[in-house]
Amino acid sequence: MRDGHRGNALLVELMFVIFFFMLGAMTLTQLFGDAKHKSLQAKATNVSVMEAENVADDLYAAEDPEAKLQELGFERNGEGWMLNKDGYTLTVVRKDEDTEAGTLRTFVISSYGDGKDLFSLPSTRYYPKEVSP
Amino acid sequence: MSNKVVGHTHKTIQNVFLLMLLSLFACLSTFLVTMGAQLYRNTVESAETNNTSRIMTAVVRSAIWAEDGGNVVVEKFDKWDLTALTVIDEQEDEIDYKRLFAWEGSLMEAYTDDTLEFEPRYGEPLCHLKEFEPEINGNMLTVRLKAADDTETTIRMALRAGGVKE
Repeated sequence: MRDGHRGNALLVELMFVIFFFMLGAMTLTQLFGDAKHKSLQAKATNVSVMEAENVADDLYAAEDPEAKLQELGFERNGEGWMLNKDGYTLTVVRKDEDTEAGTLRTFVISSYGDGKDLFSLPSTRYYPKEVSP
Repeated sequence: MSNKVVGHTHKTIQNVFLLMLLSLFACLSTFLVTMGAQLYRNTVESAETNNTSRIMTAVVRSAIWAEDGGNVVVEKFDKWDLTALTVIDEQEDEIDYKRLFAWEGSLMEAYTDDTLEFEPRYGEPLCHLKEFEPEINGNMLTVRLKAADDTETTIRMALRAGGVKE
């Protein structure tokens, strides 16, 4: 009889241990999942920064920026251009500012990933107008 | 007699159940620890890959941006079978050369002037790198880099102020 009680107590004790272990495991699994997600997101951000830097320089040097964007795989999206990559999306919007002395051509390259803005990188070049003597 | 047998069987079942619970606990613990260790390793490796690729590209970009007033050339050294990206800075009485190249598994940086002969082993290692292939087309510089873990990265840069020396 006493042995049976002892066995039941151990069983209940084990059940409690496993219950709390399961709670801990659930929290840890969630943490691991978040960590993996953040790691993947960091990788995507890193790659997108490098790609955006390349695009910024390509656009700076390009005589025909729109042709260059098409060559890089961008597609028209409203007023801008869009490129979908693994884990992030790059968008390019052109903003020209005309002044008397010349034109300031700016391309704003933005990256979106995981449902939020990651960063924006401007690529600006000044084109002076011809000055009459 | 039969009560004894039933009691004995009941106890055996209870013991087996306890053993199974303990085994489940042990298995789950091992699984959790293994999964955590694996994930930690992946995260560290991924962070290292990210850092290396950022360092590689930042070194090349900052080297060109810092000295874009000079001439940028791609030099091939058959003697050592290496290709260097060289920024030539001409001063009043001397010419300085800053070279970036891959040598013995590292991205190296070497400074010399026109009185010294270039020796890759005297360069300063910056980070691990397998391959470094610079190429200049017009005013665009393209550098293909291969990291120690075979990750390939391409840098494209417009040469702004200085330009290319043919």
